[in-house]
Amino acid sequence: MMFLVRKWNQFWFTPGSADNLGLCRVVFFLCLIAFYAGSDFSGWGSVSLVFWRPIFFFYWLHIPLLSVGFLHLLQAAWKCALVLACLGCFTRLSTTASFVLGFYLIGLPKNFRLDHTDALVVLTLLVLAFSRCGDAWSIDSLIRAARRPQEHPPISGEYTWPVRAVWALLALMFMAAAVSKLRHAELEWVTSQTMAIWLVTHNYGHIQDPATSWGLFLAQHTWVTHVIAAGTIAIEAAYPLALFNTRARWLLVPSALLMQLGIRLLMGPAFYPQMFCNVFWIPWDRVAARLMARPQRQSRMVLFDGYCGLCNGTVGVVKGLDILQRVVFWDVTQDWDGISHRYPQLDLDSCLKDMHVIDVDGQITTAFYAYRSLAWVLPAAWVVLPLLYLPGIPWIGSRVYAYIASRRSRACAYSPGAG
Amino acid sequence: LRSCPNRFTLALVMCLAGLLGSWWVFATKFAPGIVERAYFGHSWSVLNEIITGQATHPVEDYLAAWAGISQRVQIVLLVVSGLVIGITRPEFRRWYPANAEIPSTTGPQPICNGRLLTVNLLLAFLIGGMAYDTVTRRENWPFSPYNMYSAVERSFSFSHLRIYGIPAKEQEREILLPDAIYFRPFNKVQLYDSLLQAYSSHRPTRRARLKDMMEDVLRRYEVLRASGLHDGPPLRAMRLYELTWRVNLEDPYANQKPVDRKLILEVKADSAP
Repeated sequence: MMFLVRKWNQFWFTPGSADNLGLCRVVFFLCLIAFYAGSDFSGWGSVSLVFWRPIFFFYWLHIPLLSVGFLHLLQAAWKCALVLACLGCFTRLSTTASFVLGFYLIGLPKNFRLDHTDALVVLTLLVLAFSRCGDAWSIDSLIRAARRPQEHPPISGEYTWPVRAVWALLALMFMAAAVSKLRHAELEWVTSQTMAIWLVTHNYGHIQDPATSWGLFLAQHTWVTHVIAAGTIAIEAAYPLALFNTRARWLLVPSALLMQLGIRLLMGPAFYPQMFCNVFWIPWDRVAARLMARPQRQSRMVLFDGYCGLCNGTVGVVKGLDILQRVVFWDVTQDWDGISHRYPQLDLDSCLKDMHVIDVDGQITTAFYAYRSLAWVLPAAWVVLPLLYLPGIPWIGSRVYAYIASRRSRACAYSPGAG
Repeated sequence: LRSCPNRFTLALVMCLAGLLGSWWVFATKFAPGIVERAYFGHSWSVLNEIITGQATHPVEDYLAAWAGISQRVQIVLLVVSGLVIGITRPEFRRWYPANAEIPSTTGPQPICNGRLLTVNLLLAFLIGGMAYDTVTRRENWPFSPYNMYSAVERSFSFSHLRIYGIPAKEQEREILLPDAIYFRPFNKVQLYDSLLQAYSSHRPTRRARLKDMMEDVLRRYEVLRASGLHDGPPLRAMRLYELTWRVNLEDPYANQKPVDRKLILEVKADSAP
């Protein structure tokens, strides 16, 4: 018994990095935003109740069909929650709201006609609502870094179980589909002409609207349809192996994705939301590490006052945003000898007064212009970079910087040992 | 009480008991009155809008439904209270397997027992839900046995329902309404499956709903048209047909037109609510 408990804990709670889960969160919510941004759920409020056949949780919890106005409000709140969860802003609250509102809005059309194209999305949202997915790659983590620059999220099982829970959900879904086929039809599902007939019927009548008419071509070749059917069952039944075996993962996960894409091309039904859950298979922390390991084409050196709390907070935020690792930080209170030797034109008082940024060509910028120079190498700042060059913005920016800088020494004294 | 070692647990239990009691008082003494006022449209507009079926359901139905909801909430509160006490209080935490048993798997930052229990309960719910539906073949969305496409198809003819419209300014010409834009928020699969379920049902009550469904489809077609959301012609009637195709695997490109068409029902614009 203890052996099983140990194995269970080993699978779910093997220490993992916060970066991987954080990036999974960002990519998953980006996919959801792209997919659901144009969706309008409010129309369901105008459909007659003669179509209403409540699904289990709606029936059991007596969840009502709300009016069009309420649905408008709910979907606006849900889309905001998705964006906040993607950014990692109030992550606990926004992921919980994404789940609760998503459960209602995604579940609502199922009360009129049941399908499972996005059921897995709801369960994944539930997993993320319980997880600590905002500990990295989030605004929350940037704020934490600004407040406590020395603190970094340690590796922990907390960052592993949510990823593996989504793996397990995918595996259980495919296995259930295989079990269902074998239980209903046994091997006749492969040996009969079932697949050929479906390939034809889904191309007739313009209901399913497959992306191509290749199904009609394939249906003429009986052996091809048998291979497709056998391959489908083999992939679905073997999918749980991907949970435990890395080689099986490389084969089965892309195969299942191709299978779902094939269904869209040949028969029509689209499983895009389910496909989004596959982002959890990608080791994003390793992908990011590999990207960062590339030779640096451009870099910035930031000179800051290490005894200023505000400067340390700013450095913490810039470190969090510096995903390409293009920025080097030098504390002028500690490293002045090295800095003055390399850049004799710099003056200590000036460096303590304003933040200085030096680019690869040796060009030195200060204050607002230093931040604008940094924006070139911080991907998150690329959105606002063009705005920083608009006429008038440098003037305003310089004055805002001067106002804050003139008050920083009084507002925030930093003690290096303080948490 | 100050000397009692379990005073925090006692206080927590009393708070939770107070919460349960407050809910019971609200659910039995105040809420029925609110439901009644909302039913007759005398409450706040937010609450009035929730109750929409006054024409078909007496107020007693809503009161009975509320009684069911309040009972479930009481059960949920009871369970959650038990979990809160069990997870947060050390008097009960000592019953769980100790943290020390999994130090090598939880890494530098171990997970506390309460959190471990919560995560394991969530995992049990997810895995159990999926397994339950697979074994029992029941649909409990978002869990499912994923039955789609699992049956063997032996027939070489198949049927689909189709909606045709009859424009207001024409006598007998029918036009096929091929796009989902006429039926929003339904897509074509959702709409035709809903209609098919009612049409193929053996229960007379559900079958009788088919006419109401078609009337709603026609009503929403006109609402969408009036709102400029589609450019279809004004309709004086809609017809629901059952179309039959034959599958020829030798040459599936030929014969893509239906071989048979059967009128199921017609609804007129003036009869639509």
